[in-house]
Amino acid sequence: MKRLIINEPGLFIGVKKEMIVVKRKNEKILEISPLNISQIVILTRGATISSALMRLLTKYKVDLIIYSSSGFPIAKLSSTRISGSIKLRKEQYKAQDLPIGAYLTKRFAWAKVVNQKSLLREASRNRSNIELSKKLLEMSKSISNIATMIDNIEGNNANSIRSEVMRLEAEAAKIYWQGFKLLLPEGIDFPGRRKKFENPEDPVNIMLNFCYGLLASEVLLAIEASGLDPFAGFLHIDSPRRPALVMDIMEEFRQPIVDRVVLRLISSIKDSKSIIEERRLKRDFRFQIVKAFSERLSETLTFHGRSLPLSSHIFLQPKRLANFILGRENNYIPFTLR
Amino acid sequence: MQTLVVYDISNDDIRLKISDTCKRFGLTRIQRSTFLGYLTSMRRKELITVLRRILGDADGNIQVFVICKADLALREVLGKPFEEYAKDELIV
Repeated sequence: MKRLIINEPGLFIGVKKEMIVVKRKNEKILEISPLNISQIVILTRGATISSALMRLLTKYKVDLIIYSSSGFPIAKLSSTRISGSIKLRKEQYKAQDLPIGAYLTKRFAWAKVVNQKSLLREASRNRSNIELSKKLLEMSKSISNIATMIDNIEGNNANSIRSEVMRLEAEAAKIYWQGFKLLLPEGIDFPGRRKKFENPEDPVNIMLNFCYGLLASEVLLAIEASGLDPFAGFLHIDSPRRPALVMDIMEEFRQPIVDRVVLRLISSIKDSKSIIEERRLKRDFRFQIVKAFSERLSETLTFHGRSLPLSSHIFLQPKRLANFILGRENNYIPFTLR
Repeated sequence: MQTLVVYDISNDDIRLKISDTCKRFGLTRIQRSTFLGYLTSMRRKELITVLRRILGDADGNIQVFVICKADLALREVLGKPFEEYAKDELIV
């Protein structure tokens, strides 16, 4: 999967002879066929896009996504010629009030907790410090117990068990972020996990929030391709502001993709203060994150008996969910690394 | 399937149109008059139709080959490659 990332103000992206052309002050710097890319990502504020480009992109089904400076997708261009998936959507809304809704609620939370466990356990094997590795292993064990507890909750619909699942999930998260802190290199301060609306000031949380935004857009595109309604969720409560199903499916991929990318990147940074200004990431670093994130997406992993790049696994999960909701599959297997 | 397009055309205008078409179909230029890239069989038929229309009755010759992955892997490149293959990430 190739993407064109626009990260420099003042660039013009237009069309010439059915080719995408990028110009810097009338000087052509790039020319590529729309068949060769699958996404245009706009990170900067000052890029110019022609309407001819928008036509071309919808014709070739290339996504155009605009990100906010905090890494959340704020706009997406898509063709109006989409097909309706009425039956699937009706079943999806119905499922929220059925036992399968409760089942899915548990599955998403379970996957997240299991992935948290495996990240800590894997880290504990790689550490030379015996004390530390022991501690991490203990933490992963207690998270593992919580996973079993989540699996054993009983209920007839998503609403009735949500608060209990969320409570256990928060408990696991508390242990997990303590463990995560131990994995950070010395000199990097991490006051604990802070979400975007809490306006964190430390580089780790800002990086995490930025990457979760990138992941959200990836999952959103996959959900839209599957025909499911991204706003009707199971584990997360429906909200007109937040795509709940995106948040649900994201849970499976947070640790395997984002947390790993952040851990990898943070070890290469010497001065953590140099990457942020006014609670935002600097332009060139933002760009490094997107690069590292895309590289992680193209890494191949085996799951469900298929060895595919991570981006394909993200694409397949909503399809599997749709098949499960329509009754074509007997169960839904969330993406986990064990 | 990987598709190889080779052409030999003396008319400059037509030759330019041919190379533009190959680029538009997402093929990579590997030599001055040679393009290579992945095309589905539908896209390949479309490409051939367009190329036929551009060439018309003019003097020249175009050949389109289909090469399987295994055969392409046996390719040997000597000397300097004409143009680098586009990278996975295009960042500007």
